[in-house]
Amino acid sequence: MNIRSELPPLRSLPKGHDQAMRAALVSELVSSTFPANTRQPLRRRLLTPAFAGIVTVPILLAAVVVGTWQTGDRTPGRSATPVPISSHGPLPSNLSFSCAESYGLTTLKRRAFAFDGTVSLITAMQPPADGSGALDGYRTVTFTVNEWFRGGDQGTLTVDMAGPTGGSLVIEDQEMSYGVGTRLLVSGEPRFGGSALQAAIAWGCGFTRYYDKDTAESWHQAFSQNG
Amino acid sequence: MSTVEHRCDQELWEAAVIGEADAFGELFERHHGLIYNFCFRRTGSWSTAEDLMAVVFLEAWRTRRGMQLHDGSLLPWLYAIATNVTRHQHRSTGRHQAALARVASRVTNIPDHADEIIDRIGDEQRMQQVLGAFTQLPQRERDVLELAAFASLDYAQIAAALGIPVGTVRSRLSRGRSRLRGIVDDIDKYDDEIKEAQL
Repeated sequence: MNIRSELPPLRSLPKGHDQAMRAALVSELVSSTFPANTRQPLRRRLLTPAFAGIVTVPILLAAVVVGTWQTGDRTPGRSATPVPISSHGPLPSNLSFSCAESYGLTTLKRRAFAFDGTVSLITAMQPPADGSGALDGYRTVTFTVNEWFRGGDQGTLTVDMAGPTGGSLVIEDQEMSYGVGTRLLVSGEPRFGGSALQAAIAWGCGFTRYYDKDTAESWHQAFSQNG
Repeated sequence: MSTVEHRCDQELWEAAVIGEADAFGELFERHHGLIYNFCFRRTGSWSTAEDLMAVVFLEAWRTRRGMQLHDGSLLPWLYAIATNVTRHQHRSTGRHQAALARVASRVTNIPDHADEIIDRIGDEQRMQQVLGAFTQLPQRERDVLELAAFASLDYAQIAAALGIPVGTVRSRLSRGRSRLRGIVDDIDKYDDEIKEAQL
């Protein structure tokens, strides 16, 4: 049996169904009869090492993030009703890594860029032009910037950061750490050095966090003091 | 502003999320045919495929905050959802039962020609034979092989859709093909067609 030649031909929906289906789905979806899935992250997963990044050049800032293995628990009995994405503290990541620096306002002030932004789009990570390749589990995320603390002044910004679902496009049975509409405090470095937003990569380890007013104010103060 | 037909998937999705109905309609128009046929090839039933295709778009909307483009296309993400939806048919349709009923109530059945009906019955019989081979594979290998054979996705697209490295796609495809070797008679020809599909 030759499977490909055995496949039936592609067919269209039955007569009249396509337009009716389109109209029905559009009505069903755009009227937002159910909320978006915004499950709170509940587990950390076993995953392969994350990435290593080195930044040198004028400031000679070097950051190496080396992957390690970690395990975690999954809380059973998730509610069927979507709940808001966690709104406090560091952004959890399905990617596990040891941290080159511990988060604190002193270490935060060393970051090349920092801003308060709202996620507007998540796409597959685009491999850098230098051929170094995309990072496993990472996504290119577009933000609408609410406030710049350092490194830029534009209204929208695209950075690479750990994906919300550990790398899979499949959402079923997975928790998302963030999604379109999530407001975050983001800081990081240019992946290969250079200007602040060149191949910008958001740091984990607490350097990217859920937005809250007090933390945003502390970031504002920290970067103001830093000149 | 450009018409919806000329906008890329990303632009259409962004517009849909903020409530532009025509944008979602255009995305449906653009991708529903392939998703419908993929659902049929995964299930062997045209009527089931129609319901599951609707569920794929309902699920896409439910999980819209996690939408991820691959090479600018929404299609791998939709295939990822379709793979899950067809694997867990009862759970998927159950979740959207009320919405499916509302959708069905809007669809007016227009009688098909007898020839069309006969052709579709023949499709289902042929597809059941094909699926008979695939059901003997482990689910993970089956998902990879079916995305390759039924949807003609390339390595990178399958990797993105299933959230696995490209190397894992290659190894699962290789193992799956080896298992099929004992099931499918004309494996050499099948191999050639897979290679032609850049797999």
